[in-house]
Amino acid sequence: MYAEIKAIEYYLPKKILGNKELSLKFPEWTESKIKSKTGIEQRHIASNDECASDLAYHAALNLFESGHCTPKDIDYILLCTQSPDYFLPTTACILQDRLDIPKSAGCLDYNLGCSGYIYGLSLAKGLIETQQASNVLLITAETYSKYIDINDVATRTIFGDAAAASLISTADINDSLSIGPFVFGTDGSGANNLIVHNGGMRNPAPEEKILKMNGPDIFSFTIKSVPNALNKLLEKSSLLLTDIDYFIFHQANEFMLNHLRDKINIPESKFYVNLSQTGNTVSSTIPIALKEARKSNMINQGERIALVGFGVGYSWGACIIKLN
Amino acid sequence: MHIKEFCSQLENVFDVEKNTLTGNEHLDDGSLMDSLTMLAVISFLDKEYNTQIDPSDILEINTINDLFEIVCNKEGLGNT
Repeated sequence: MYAEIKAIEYYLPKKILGNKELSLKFPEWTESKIKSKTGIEQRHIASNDECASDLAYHAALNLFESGHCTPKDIDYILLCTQSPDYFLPTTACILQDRLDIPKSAGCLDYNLGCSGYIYGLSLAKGLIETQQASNVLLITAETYSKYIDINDVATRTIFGDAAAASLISTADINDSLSIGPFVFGTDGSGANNLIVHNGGMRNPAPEEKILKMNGPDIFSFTIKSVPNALNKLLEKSSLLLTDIDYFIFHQANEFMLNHLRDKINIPESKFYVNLSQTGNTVSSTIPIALKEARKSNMINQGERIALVGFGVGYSWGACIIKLN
Repeated sequence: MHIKEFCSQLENVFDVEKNTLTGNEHLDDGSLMDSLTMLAVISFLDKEYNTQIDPSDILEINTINDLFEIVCNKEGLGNT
């Protein structure tokens, strides 16, 4: 018995922050400069009363409306967020009730950023292939905008809010390579390079919770860790780079993605770059990219797709999947 | 490798006019190095010289000549 990704849907908040508005606030950053440096034209921003569970709820509704499953089919919720509604209870519990998912379902949150979707796929695969669950609702939902200092051009231009809902179920076709293999990595020495210092128990002072990002250090980490992770994944899979039909990396920013593609020697035609309308949505960039790439026939049934997530932690993970 | 060639390449990275860099320019001059340019420098060194330099290395040095020396030492290229 193997697991596979059955369906993906996503949700973007209605409010849009465009480059024009940002360039008015930061005149040295023209609209075209923001676009050329980041690849982003606009990002969606959650409203003041819109939290991760709200985005997650709408993403899940979109999934149910797609006809692949109903709330009654779900027997596990995995919810990845670093901007939960509350410290406790978990956002997944709130979502279970709101979506009317059976009380027999297991529900948990996990705290990861840009590597979160890869880890979620791994957890979902484990639950299904050990027969602890049959239909896992994997949600990634983030409202980083609530952590962003409005005067910080670096984070404000990059991050957008979003949620994605994926249905991971028992596979119709017995293919051990529907999801996996995986490789993972962690280097907590980079913790301070993307961090919200205040608000947790370490610094409970009532200062605002502000996201601090050290872009150059994160870039430096990425160009070392991502090529290594991909090489290890290929080695573990006994595959060559040319055996992979398509590559979807975490959509951090266009500059970083282009650098990685060049460095790893991936043909442009096999490499997904599209964050112009959403920005970097943290753990949702990969499922959004998968959905969009499938919709526009960049990826086809049965093709081998390499996914790589990397970022806050530092944490990274990579896997190979097939969409059936 | 010669410092002149290195400067010529960096002129593209820093987006400054041709034949303006000599090597003596200070990297902490705000007009030359903001955080985005730092990314571009790291990317350039990785692509062109397969040299991965930590941002902290760049922050510790003063001039383009110092950066050139780091690249030469890491790559064993020898500087002239």
